[in-house]
Amino acid sequence: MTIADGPMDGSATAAAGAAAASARRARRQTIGGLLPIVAWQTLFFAVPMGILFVYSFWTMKDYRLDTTVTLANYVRIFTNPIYLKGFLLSLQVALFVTVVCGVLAFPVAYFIAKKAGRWRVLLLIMVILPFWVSLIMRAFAWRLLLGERGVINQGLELTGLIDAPFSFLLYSPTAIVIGLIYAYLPLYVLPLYASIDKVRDSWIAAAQDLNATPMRAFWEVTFPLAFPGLMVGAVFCFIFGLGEYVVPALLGGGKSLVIAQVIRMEFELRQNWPGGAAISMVLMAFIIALLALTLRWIRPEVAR
Amino acid sequence: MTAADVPMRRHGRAATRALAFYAGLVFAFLYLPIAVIVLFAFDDKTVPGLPMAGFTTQWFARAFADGELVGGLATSVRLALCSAVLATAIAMPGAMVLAWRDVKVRTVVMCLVLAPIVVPQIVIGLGLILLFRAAPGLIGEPAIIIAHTTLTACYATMILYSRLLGFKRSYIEAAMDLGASDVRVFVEIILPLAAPALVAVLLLAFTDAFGEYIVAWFVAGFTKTLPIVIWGSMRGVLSPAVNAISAVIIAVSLALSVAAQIWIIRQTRAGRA
Amino acid sequence: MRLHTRRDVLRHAGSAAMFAAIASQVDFTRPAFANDKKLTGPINVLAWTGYDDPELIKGFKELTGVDVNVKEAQSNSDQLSLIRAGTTKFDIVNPDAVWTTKFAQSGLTLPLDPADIPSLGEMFAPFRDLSDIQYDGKMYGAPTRFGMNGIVHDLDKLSAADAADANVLWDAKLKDRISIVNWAELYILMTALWQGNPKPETVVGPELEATIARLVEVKPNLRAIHDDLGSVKSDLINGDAWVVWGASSDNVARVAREAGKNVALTLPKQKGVMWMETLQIVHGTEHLASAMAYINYMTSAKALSIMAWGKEQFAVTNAGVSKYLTAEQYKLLDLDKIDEWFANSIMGKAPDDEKAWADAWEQFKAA
Repeated sequence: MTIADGPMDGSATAAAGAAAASARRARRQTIGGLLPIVAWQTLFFAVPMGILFVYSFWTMKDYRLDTTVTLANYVRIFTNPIYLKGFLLSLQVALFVTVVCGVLAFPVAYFIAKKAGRWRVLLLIMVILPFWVSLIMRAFAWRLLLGERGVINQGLELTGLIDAPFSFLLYSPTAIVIGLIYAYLPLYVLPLYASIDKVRDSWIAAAQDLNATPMRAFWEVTFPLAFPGLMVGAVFCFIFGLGEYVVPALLGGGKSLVIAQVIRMEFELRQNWPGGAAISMVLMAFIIALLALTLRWIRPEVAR
Repeated sequence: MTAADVPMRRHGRAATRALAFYAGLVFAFLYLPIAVIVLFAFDDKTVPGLPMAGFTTQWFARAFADGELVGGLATSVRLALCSAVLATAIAMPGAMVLAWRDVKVRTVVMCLVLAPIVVPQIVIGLGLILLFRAAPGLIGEPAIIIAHTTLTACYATMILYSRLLGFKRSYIEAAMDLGASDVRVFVEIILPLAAPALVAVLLLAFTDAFGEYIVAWFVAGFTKTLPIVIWGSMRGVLSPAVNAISAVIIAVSLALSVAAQIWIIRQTRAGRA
Repeated sequence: MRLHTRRDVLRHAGSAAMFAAIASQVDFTRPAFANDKKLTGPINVLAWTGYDDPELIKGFKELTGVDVNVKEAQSNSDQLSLIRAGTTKFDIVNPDAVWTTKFAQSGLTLPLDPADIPSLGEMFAPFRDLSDIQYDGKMYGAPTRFGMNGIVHDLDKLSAADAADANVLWDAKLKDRISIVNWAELYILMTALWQGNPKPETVVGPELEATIARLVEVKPNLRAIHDDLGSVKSDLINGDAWVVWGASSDNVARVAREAGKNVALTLPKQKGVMWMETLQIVHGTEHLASAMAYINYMTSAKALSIMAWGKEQFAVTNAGVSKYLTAEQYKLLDLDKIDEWFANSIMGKAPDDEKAWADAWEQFKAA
């Protein structure tokens, strides 16, 4: 692992020794700071994934592991349309949810960070509180809301707006999207809050004093500073959306499968750990490539 | 105040009101399913659904009498607290370095940190259960804490990182180069700066660890967390007792949060007076 | 750079041994069992929900002095995965009979001697035929609970006369009205049976293709394909579905009736399909005698009556439960209908070609 330090001021020879000492110190801090998280994720994530990576080159024969190395699992992924179909559905859902969540979450985070005054911690907690109720219960509640004899359909029928209930509300991609937007809102609001909060009111006021309209002050001061939070929320939302299993399983009705359901089918129906591992590896490679691109946008100013 | 200021202020106030209204709508969306859950906790039907049958509090009595539910709740709270604190603790130093130092391997580290959220949980569960073959003694509570820390450390690092990014270099230099008073600098400068993100991170990590089922099931051994108990009763019909315990969780946490908030406001007022 | 090297060294030193330990699946060097005479414990049980009943565990402890730890699973495959991983040493596992081959072929379970399980003689007649729990000529499990798969229908929407013909499921009037569960073998088997294959578990090739084509035709009528049995029940009770096909129909009907829904279970003239659940012993158990005692205890009339009237109310295989259940309970569990059921159904068997059926189910899901 190579780690470079912050730019050093080495122009004065007299200061060179001190600078070297400070550089060593900085390196120690860098390594020391990264060590816990890197070691932890290596041991408890990279190693298990490494094991499954090895599995992905093996096969299952008669429910026993055949350790002959083969690319068959990977070939199957790119030749069987069910994987591509599942992936595309996941991709669509994840993209849509990411955009909608962002639009829903930004004003709320802004309101909590800037307008809620002392009540902001309470409001922040209130954003997350619904999620302390089991996911199953929330999904079942959505079923009661969206079902054919559910609250929404009955309400609409009662007001005479519709004659027959909407059956597409539940057990459909619509239901998956509603469930996911609901599930991921806090993932957006919280990082956004954390970054909007650091935008000083005085900066906004200063911009307005310089005759900027509130709109312009927002776009030129608040938004750029909140951007990392927005990106973090978007990255979370998108990645979670791609890999999500539970919400599609409970609300989607199982008639069209997202990629996580396809992967699960591999493990459940066939007991095919190598096959399931191979799809996961491809999915992970895709996301990591995407991340590597996206993360450039949220690079720190200080590093430049 | 000049005449020109007035419309702008008024405009600002209207905008704030619009913003508050919008936030109100989003909060309504967030609490709609919760309202449904609470509503059916008081309904006499054994399987929640419309039309409602009649008012009852029997489900609350049953929930409290159900050792599995109450025990699962206690276990879940305890384990989720541990993994939230642990995830935040390992994420904070990493986020500081990533945000403030010119780390060449930043992208690699970030991918490593973030990757767990894309891998389907069943795969992580299987991977971890294979890993724990090397240390089967950890199966149970320690393994659940480890698993959830791994899953939540991603949010933790990323949220802290995005918060720390915007701080001026001078702060950081001061914070990191003040020599002997490292701890003091951390406590007096960095912690307050990072506080909003720390709150957000602890909340999110706790929430995710509290509700996660699939990975937990694989590594839990015979330990029963609340989600494991609830998923376990899925094959029958979920009893409204689960609605009742959910209602209690919401009510108690709301009450505690409001009380704490009021207390804090009183304290600050008293402090100023 | 130093860090890198150090990690490399560590990796090379430890990895070979570690990896062998972690990645291999079943340790065949371990003895298949230990303690076949002495009652030792505690025993670890991996089972479907229903086994972690304090009363059941207490009964076994009183009888043998051995403690039982129960971990509940939501599927056969979760059980197989956990046993395969082998991290926790389980002594007993609880798959459906049709999964016997998968466990046995994986080398994860031990063959049993029917003579060691006296309660087998007390079972209802069809469960005494142990061919359904055999692999390679040996018996691997003892049946505990069972269920019937037919058509559960909301009587306000579909009459028993209509449901007596299985083809009603394909009728356009049931569009979006049928909920099923993700139970691959069952639906392929039932569809093949209803297409006139007397031995539906044997269908492969063009016959299997015809079966899947037929199954795909029912898809527009499906409200949902759930992963859990609870959801089909709430669909039926809340009116999202008018019909539940399969999904352990007798249990679905029982729960729906209890919730006040006017439903019936009808076995169509093309016949229903039964399933049963078994207790099997895990290869490598260190408490063989206790595990055998547990199987004997759990298949006894006394234990199964507790189980039947426990949380989930599935029908049980031991005919002797009539001694412990009231007439009303016996009737509610549909045990009084058992002869009629047996006459109008077949026992579900594992497909001859598991892989072809898995492909077929995948094709159905993707369609």
